[in-house]
Amino acid sequence: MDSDILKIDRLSYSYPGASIPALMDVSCSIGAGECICLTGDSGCGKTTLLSAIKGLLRGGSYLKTIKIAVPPGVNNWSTPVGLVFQNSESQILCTTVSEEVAFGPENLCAPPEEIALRVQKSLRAVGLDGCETRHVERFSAGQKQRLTIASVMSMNPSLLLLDEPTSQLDSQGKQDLCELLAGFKSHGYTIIMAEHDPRPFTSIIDRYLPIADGRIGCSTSSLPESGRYEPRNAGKMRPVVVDDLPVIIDVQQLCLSYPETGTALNKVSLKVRQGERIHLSGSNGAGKSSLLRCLAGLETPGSGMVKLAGITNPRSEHLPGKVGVLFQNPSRQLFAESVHDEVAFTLRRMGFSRQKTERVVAEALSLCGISQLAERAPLTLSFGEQHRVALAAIVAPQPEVLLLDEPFAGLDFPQRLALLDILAEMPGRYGTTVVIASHDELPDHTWADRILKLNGGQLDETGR
Amino acid sequence: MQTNDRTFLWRRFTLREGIFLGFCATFIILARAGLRLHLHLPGHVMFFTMFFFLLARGCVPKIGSATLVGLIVSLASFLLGMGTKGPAVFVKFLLPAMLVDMAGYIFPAFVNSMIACALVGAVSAAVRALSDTLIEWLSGMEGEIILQKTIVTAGLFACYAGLSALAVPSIVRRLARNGLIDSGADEKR
Amino acid sequence: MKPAVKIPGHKLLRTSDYACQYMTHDSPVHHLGAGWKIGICTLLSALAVGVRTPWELFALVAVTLIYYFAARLTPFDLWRDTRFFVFQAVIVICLYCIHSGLAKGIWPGIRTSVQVILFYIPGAVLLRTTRTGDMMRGLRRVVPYRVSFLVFVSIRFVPFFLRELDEIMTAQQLRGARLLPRQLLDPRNWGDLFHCLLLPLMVRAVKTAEEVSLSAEAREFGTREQRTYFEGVT
Repeated sequence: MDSDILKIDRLSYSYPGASIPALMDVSCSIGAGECICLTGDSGCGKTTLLSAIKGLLRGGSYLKTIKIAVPPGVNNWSTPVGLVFQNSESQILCTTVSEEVAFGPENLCAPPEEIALRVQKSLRAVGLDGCETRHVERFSAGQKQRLTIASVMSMNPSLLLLDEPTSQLDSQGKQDLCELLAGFKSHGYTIIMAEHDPRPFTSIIDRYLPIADGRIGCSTSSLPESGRYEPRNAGKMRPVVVDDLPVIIDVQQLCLSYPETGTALNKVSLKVRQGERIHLSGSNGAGKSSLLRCLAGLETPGSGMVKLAGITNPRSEHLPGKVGVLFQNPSRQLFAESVHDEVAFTLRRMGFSRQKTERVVAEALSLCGISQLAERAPLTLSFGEQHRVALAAIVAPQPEVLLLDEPFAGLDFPQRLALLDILAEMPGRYGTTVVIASHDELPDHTWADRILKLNGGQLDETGR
Repeated sequence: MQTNDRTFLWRRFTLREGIFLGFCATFIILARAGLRLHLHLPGHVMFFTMFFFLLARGCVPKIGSATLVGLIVSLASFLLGMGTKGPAVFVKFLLPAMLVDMAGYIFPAFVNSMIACALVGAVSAAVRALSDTLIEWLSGMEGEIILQKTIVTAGLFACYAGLSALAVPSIVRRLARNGLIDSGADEKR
Repeated sequence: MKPAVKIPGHKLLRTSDYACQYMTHDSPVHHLGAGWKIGICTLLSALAVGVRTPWELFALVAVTLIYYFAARLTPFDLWRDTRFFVFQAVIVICLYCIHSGLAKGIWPGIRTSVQVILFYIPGAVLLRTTRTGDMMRGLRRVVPYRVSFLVFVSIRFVPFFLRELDEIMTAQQLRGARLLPRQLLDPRNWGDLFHCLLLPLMVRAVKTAEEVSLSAEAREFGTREQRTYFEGVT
């Protein structure tokens, strides 16, 4: 069939030193102008397949036939395949917007006049025209995502590949991206995206290709296993926390502003009782992280008061053991030689005896379902496992308050549900109050006792 | 079919290695900027400079890795206006970096030993004090004065560098244990 | 050092004020091309090491200072650019005096110290009056593009790693790592500095290098021997 732009025939690939292949006998054909979504859980081989199509796999063993049809009229200064990676922060290589968009055509040796046209055209296509001289550091997550797409589009690819394009975006960002891709599709571009939750793009996706354990399944025109993305609504209800338990987080009239961005928190007042489960929601830039940082004593508020676990206006050095904070990327906090040592670190700092440390570490590992990994080196584990190790290290001291900042980033749907199940245990076992700051809705609607919405630095309680 | 990494620079470094070495230069710049804003002690910048030179050699065990970091950090310092010494900034960073590479050529596995690391760190940092010596000699300063001043400065540099170098083997070992760097690479030259 | 700036209701801001940083002014020296400035820098620096008599030295000091202040830089800027050498000058003069006695040692001590300072001042003027962008464009012409790319990437990622450093430090402090400046004055806590802060930073560097290299390769970087340059939008 000659309208196919991409034809893959029995592609297999193994990473260097890996015993199990990342891709096994993958065969598929993609027609020109189609929008395809590769679906599947983390680690199933989606990213590897995109890298293989782009020809970026190095140092492994390959068995492949990938044919990419180059449409007529494509010149030497173009690339047939453009790939946008998951993390826009680390794929922006230049300092200003125009330099970034010009980088690809420069490498293709396009003449400067041609590059000027392409910069203009690509930036207009993603809605960033007029930003040519702006510094990339000042862009929001959504703008950075658009810039990375523009920097690939400037190489005139016929086939656009996107790897987990929504991982850093809130719901508005996802909607904007969907509209952008719909525009590309209407202009005849072929799009292949790898996305573990394709729901925001159902209106533009023509076919879904499910991948599991490196093998590709039958393509479908409707979302496969659509039920798996539905948030849980029943089964784990629990009585709302009784009002007579002590207040563990007390925030009054909290204000915080940054010189660069202005007001982050505006007269925020909040009372949370011991053992409550809170979902702090709001779009990117609404002030969620700022509030968590104030609670953890990492920011000194302009005015107002924070009382946490009995400490007024706490400072971070007073909180280890009492308050646990889990940040977005777990690899930032892993450093020990084994998972066991990683989890034991805070306990040793708190002066626990060897026996007590062993007992508490074993309990934390078991709670997080990673007892079998105790002797492994933490950074050799998968992203999902590293996430659990980081969580185990935080929950081991049985903190009074557990704060989690965007904990679902990079996790697929089953992993998100498993994380919530672990967190649901904390109030019952240790009386821990759990606060999750996330722009995504929780995959379990019954989990939170209260949902607090931050909007422009102001707090609204939206109930449950 | 087996696929291999493409070399990118000097027929030796892949693009990934080159960028990693560039990041080592970033860390030296960050340390210099950070320390300069908070402390004004002479020579303490060598604490982190030598640490990252040695770590670069440990993580990318090829001849030239520390020198590449030295070259990038000199050029970047120059561009960012952090070179208090103008073009002499090149000698200041390249000289100790080349010594680290030379040590790696003679004794490839030196980054695995605390004593060897401290020794190489201290000697390389001390040699960095020579960067001013040429200018002073051309300016007609007396040889004995140059020697005495160089000894004072070199001593300070060597102390700071030697201390930080002691931590390098354990960090290299942990990175290797976590599969982030090639643990068998210490045999390469 | 410029004091930290306190804006009401804001965090304490500390301005970056290290020596030889570019200063925005409209001066004749700023208008000179980078090539001219490099030429003047080379000439003045060569003269600085060559002078021997007091009159020659005096004349060169005058010319160098005129050049410096023609760039509309202030005496405070001069102090910031040369304070490192003032520290060295104190050592040199002391050593001369110890070696030859106060009467005989003071002049050669001052002369050589001033010469060394004069050697570096023209370079400081170059850095103070030439934008980073202009320097980068200049660098691209003299350094192979593969090396200049690594330099630009290392500069581009300075703010990125500053944020990473802050986040790692925050996460580790909350786990009990002793990383506060006053805690790091105690050498017993240096283990935490290396293992809890610098090790995760290196891990991030390894991972980010992987992502950056893939991003560059995906945009065909390094696949051709040469490349073109787009200088249109500045």
